[in-house]
Amino acid sequence: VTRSVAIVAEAGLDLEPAAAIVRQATGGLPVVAFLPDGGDASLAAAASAKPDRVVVIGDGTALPLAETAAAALEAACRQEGAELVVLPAAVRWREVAAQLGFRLGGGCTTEVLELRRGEAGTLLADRLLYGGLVVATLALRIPAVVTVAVPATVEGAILPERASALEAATPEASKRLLDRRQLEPEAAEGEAAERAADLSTAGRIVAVGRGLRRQEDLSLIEGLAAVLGAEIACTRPIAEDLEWLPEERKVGLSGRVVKPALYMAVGISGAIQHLVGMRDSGVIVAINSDPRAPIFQAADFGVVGDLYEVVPRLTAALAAEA
Amino acid sequence: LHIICCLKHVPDTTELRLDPETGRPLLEYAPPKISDYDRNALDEGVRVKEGSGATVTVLSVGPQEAVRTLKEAVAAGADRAILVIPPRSDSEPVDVDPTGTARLLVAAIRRVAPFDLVLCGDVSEDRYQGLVPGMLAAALGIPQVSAATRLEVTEEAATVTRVADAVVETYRLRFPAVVSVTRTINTPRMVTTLQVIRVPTSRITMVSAAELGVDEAGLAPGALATRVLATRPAATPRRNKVLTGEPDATIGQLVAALKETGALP
Repeated sequence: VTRSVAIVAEAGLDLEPAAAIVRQATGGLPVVAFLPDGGDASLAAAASAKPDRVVVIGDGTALPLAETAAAALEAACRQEGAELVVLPAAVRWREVAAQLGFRLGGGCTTEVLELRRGEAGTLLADRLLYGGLVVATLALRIPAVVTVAVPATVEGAILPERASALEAATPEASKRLLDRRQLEPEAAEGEAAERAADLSTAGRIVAVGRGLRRQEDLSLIEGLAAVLGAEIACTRPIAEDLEWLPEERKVGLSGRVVKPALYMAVGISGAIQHLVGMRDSGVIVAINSDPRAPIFQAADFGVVGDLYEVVPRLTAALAAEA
Repeated sequence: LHIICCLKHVPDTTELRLDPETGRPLLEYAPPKISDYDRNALDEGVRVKEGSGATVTVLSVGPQEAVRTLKEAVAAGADRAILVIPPRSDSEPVDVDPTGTARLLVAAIRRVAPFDLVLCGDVSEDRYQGLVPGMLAAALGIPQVSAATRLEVTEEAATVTRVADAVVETYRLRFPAVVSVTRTINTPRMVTTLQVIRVPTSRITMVSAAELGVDEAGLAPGALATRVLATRPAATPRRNKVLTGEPDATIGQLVAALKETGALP
C-alpha cells in the first residue's frame, strides 16, 4: 500500500511553512500536492511545497463547493494512501477540512502550530485552546486532516523536475457532485471585494483599542503610525462593535495574527483574544491609563498614561528624531 | 419552516485563569455560558421565527449542567431544547471530539426532522476549531456556508453573505442547509436571570447517546479520533518594564529603550 502525506495547494499561497511542518512530522513519506485546479498560479503554489508529486483532483475546475472539494479530496487521499492532509487555514478550506475529516473518519483539527509522530497510528498536533490561554497537544488518529496558517506567496516558484507530470485523480466522482449544485455563488461585488491590508508582513504596527473615545480621534493613531512607518491595526470591539476600522485590521484570535518587529498597543486593555494575535511580536509597547490592565503583562515597555496626552507627545518626539 | 440551532455550553474564556502551580486551566472556576457565536446563531434563528412563524429547536451536546444553558435558549425564544448527554468515563463526562459531537447532533437532528436550516456558531469560544458545522453538512449530505455575516430566509432558500479572506461572497442555499454565523451578524438580546429561572426544566428534553442509537463505545476516550492529551501555558515571557511619571520623561525613556532593543534605528 502506498503511504504519503498531502498538501492542498491553491493559487496565491506560499506552502513552504506548511510543508516544513509536514516533513518534520512525517519525515520520509513522499509529499503529494493536491491541486483543485491545474492553472499556472496553482502550480506555483504547489511548487512552494517542493512536493514529490503533483495530483490534480476532481475535474480540474476550482471546485468551489466544500462538499465537492471534500469528495474529490477523499477519493484522492484514499488512492494516494495519505496519512495526513494539510489544508490552508482559510474560511473556505476550513469547511473542506471539516467535511473531509468526517468522511475519512480520522483525527481532525484546525490552525495547527506544530505536528509530530505520536504512538502507533496517531499524529500529535499542537494548537491553541481557550482563547489562546494554553497550547494543547491533540492526538489525531491517522488519516488526519489539519489546517495550517499559510502566508500569501511569492509568485513564480519553479516546480521540481520530478513533479512535472500532472495526474487527474477521479473526474467522474466530482463531476457528478458538481451537477447537483445547490449553491449558487453570485459574482462577488467588485467594490466590496477589497483586498486586505497586509498586516502579516508589516514590520511595525500601531494598534488601537477601546481607550480611543471617538472615531475622529483615529487621526492621533494615524499620526503616530505615519512617523513610525507603521500599519494600523485594532482590537475586536473597534472593528466589530464600533466598526471604526475594517475587519481586516483586526488583530487577535478572530482576526489576524501578526509578528511585527515593533507592536504598539494604544488604549488596549489586553484581552487574551487580542494577545493571541500579537504576542509573538518582536518588541511590544503598551500605552494605557489603567496600570492594572493585563496588556502590561504582555508588553516589554509600558507607559501608564492617558493616550490623548501620550500619543501626541510620542509622535512629536519620534518626528524630532527622524 | 423548521430551524435547528446548535449551541455549546462552555466556560467563559475571558474569566478563565491558569493554576499558578500546574499551569492547568481552571475550567471548574470559570462561569459557564452559551458560547459566543452560538448565541448569535440562536438570535438569528429567533429573528427569522419572528418574521416568518418558524419553529426553533435548540440542540446541544454537553453535561447535565448544560440544562441551564438550554433554559437560557428557551428564554431567548427557542420553542424547545434537547440536551444530548455524552457517556461518562471514570465518572467524568467524555470530552467528545468534533466528529463525535457531529454524530450525536445528527442523531438528534434526525429525531426532530424534517428541518430546513441548521444554524451554528462559526466556532466555539473554548476550542475555536470551527469543524462541527462542516461535519454536520458532510454527515447530512447537505450544502454549507460558514462565516455568515448576513442571512435572509424564505420558505425554501436562504441568501447568505459572508466575508471569506477579505472577499465578500453571496450564496443562495436551497434548504435543507447548514449555515454557521459570525458575531457580526447581530447583537443578541439580553436575557435576564429571572427569565431563565422561569423556564421549567420540563421544557428541556435530555437524551443519552444510547437513546439516540449512537454506539457509546465509539465515544469512549480511547476511541475518539481526536483527543486532547495535555495543555501548557501559551505566553512567552516579556520585559514588563512599566514607565510612570511625567509624560515627557517617560516618552524619552521609551524612545531610548526602543533604540536600545533595535526596534527603532
